[in-house]
Amino acid sequence: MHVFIDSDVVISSLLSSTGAAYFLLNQSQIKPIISPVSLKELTIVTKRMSIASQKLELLVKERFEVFNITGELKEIRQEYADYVTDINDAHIVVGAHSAKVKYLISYNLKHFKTDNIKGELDILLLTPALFLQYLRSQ
Amino acid sequence: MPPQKILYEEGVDTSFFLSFKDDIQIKEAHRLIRGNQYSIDIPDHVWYHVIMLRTIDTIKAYTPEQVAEMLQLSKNTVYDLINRGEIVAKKIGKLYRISAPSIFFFFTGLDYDLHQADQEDRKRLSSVEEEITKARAQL
Repeated sequence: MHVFIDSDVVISSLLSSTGAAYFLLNQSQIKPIISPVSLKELTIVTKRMSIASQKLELLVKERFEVFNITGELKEIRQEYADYVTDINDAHIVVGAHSAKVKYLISYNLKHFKTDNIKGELDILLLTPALFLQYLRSQ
Repeated sequence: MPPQKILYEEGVDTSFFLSFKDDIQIKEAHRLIRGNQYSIDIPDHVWYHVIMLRTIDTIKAYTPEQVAEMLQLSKNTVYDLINRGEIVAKKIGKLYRISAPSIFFFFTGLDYDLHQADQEDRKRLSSVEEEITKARAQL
């Protein structure tokens, strides 16, 4: 099962091995996806938060698929503006849509217009814990 | 009935409310800044869960009758749920006792361990979100 992962979940998994983000990214039945734009911001954030860059590199190499998104960032932000409350978050929705996933996992639910994303793109936005709960019900 | 109000000191973690499945209504809840305090209007159905969670003591065990009252179910339904394994209970002699984590899902939409794991991440979430916002602005 392919799921697109927002950067807050990736960073959370690097900060704690007892949090829901860490548990989620270690579930063998999911294939987590990020985009090159996500990877770029993750590199910036890990540096700012003094997280060892090797930890991120290893996690991405071992667990993630990096799915390319086409188009200029400025253009895709405009194109997907209806799905976010902060236009700077639009590349996350673009990544999920481009990768054709059914699930987008984020802690930052308030920055996404969940109804539009579900209704128009057929992508369900969930927190890590809620997605883990869903996996348990399968 | 008007929504309940909870008054918080600024800086208190309110992410607790976001663990509810229907948090869309919480996101729409009115937030009013008053000096260093703010109040949040909590819809009735969420307020009910808040009260229930405050009531639950995680180291305590409950009788099926108490659980029936908390979940607004009949006593027989609770016994059926125990027999089907949907509520995990310990039989002591002829009596059942139910631990709080066994019924946690009914109030939060999450099993107890997942709720704990969720809260673990949320301890650092504000600083994580802050750094991500800064990084996205400079992309």
